[in-house]
Amino acid sequence: MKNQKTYRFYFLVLILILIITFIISISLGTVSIPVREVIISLFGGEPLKSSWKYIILDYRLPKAITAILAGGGLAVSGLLMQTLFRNPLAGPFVLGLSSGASLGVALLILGTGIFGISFGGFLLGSWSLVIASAFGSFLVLLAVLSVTFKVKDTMTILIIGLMFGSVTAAVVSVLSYFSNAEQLQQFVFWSFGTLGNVSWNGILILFFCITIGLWISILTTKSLNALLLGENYAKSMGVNLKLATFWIIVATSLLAGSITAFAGPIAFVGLAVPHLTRQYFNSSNHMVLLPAVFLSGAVLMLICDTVAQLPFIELTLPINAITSLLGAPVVIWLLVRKRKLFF
Amino acid sequence: MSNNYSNNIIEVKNVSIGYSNKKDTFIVSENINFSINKGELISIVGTNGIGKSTLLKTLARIQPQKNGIILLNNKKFNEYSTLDIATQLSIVLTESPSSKNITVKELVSLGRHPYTNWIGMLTEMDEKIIEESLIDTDTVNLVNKKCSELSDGQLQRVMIARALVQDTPIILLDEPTTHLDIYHRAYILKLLKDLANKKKKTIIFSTHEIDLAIQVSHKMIVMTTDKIYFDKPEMLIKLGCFENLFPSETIEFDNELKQFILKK
Repeated sequence: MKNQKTYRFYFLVLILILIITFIISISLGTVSIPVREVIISLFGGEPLKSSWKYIILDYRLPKAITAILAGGGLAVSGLLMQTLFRNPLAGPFVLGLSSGASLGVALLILGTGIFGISFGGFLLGSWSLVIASAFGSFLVLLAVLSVTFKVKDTMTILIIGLMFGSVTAAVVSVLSYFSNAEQLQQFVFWSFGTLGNVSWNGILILFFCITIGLWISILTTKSLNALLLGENYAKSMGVNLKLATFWIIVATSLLAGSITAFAGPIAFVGLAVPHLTRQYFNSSNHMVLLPAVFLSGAVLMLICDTVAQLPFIELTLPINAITSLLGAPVVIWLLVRKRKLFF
Repeated sequence: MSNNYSNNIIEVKNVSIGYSNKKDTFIVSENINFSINKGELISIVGTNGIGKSTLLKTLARIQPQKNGIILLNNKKFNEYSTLDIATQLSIVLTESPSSKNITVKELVSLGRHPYTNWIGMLTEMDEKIIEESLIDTDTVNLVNKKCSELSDGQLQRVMIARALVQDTPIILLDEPTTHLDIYHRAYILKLLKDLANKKKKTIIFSTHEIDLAIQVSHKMIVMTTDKIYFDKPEMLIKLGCFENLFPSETIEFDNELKQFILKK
């Protein structure tokens, strides 16, 4: 355990990096706006061009905030899952949440054609996608939770979560097979993930869900720390395993579920960020790891979002691809350097 | 009898141990009776698969008992809450901690879990108890090491330190001497003996080191398929319990030497 001063220094550096990446992310984009004007707009002033203010406040700022919430939230839910299942390969989606979400969205987009029900163009707006996705995640969550009340072994829960994922993925495949090109394209676009489609109202809901999810996570840190020794030891130290498992899963579902609903399935962040954070923080204490993982996830997502902007080119790459493209080499490099990846 | 009733910390009456799934119950051992006094060092011996671990896990309430009554401080075992049990019993299991990244200091501190606030903050008193336990187990110089960097003997000492930090009158240990060389085996058993004698801890451990167990234990639980014996080591030798413990064609128990010897 490093002393508190080292941690405080690390946290300060992380917050500083977060602020810098936040400003960079807002400054860059298809329209180039000077950093000075960006800061003026952020603090309510009038930039040189009024369109700049509109771009920043109504487009880039919500996107950057979504990136922070999504990156941090996914990373924390990954940490929770890795500790709960004591498995370094676990991530926010091991319980089948993203598959549930994709099933919901697939039923909405692809199912309309097959079942001959027309929701009309109006319903296929962004809100209906959010609702379908949240509904799908929620159903899978209910299924997983009902299983956790019957099954004691966390490894069994892990495998059942993966099975739910397989089933929903299969249903999505069948739906895709019977869909037309236009619908398929719409579905594929959703699966790319996007940070830019969240309105201020959406951000408010997302913020609400993430805050509750984080708060529950903080309440479970003591149990999470005890779980580092294994279930039997945790039990012998007075941890109510069933209750702890329940709340950890609820927190993960709130975090990962709400993010998937608004930003689509974003891979990799949840799996990799906890590992990266453990490497430089060198602690297993969740009281330290939880805020550190949140900040790191937010930073990584902001960087990925900035890269996805592709400055000077009028294109935005899918965020889901960028997180993996950028993150995987980092993790591979760390693994090769350290040779071992403990959790 | 020296069996002072008020000194009685654990009493096991007609208990069956085993495990069950939805359809069947598998009884590993039944009709277990013994009572243990405060500050006693008790070893459990018997062949592989006879139920030593199951008995320990039942006593730790990780596994439910199948029949009979277990009294802890003259109060029924099942009347304790999980948190109350955690202040009475601490355990050292054969399984190593799931996290290999955890440092010795973090691991040992986790023993304060039943006493800390909702966030797990350590008070000055907690820190003092942790330091004492580290000194008692000779692990002070290991505090900054990670679990993955420890030898088997060091890890065992660290796990015992964690159990001490939990500050319970009873400590249960499942085969604390496995994987250790003769020196470290003796070291651990001597440590347990000291804890029982000086700190008045009640210690129950299972082991395959029958020779060493005879030397250090106040009393022993000898588990055989027919019967479970519970007495002082010398009485058990007189009764001839150890002679029938294993099939007699390869090894036999020498009552004079108090150990098993190879048959010629």
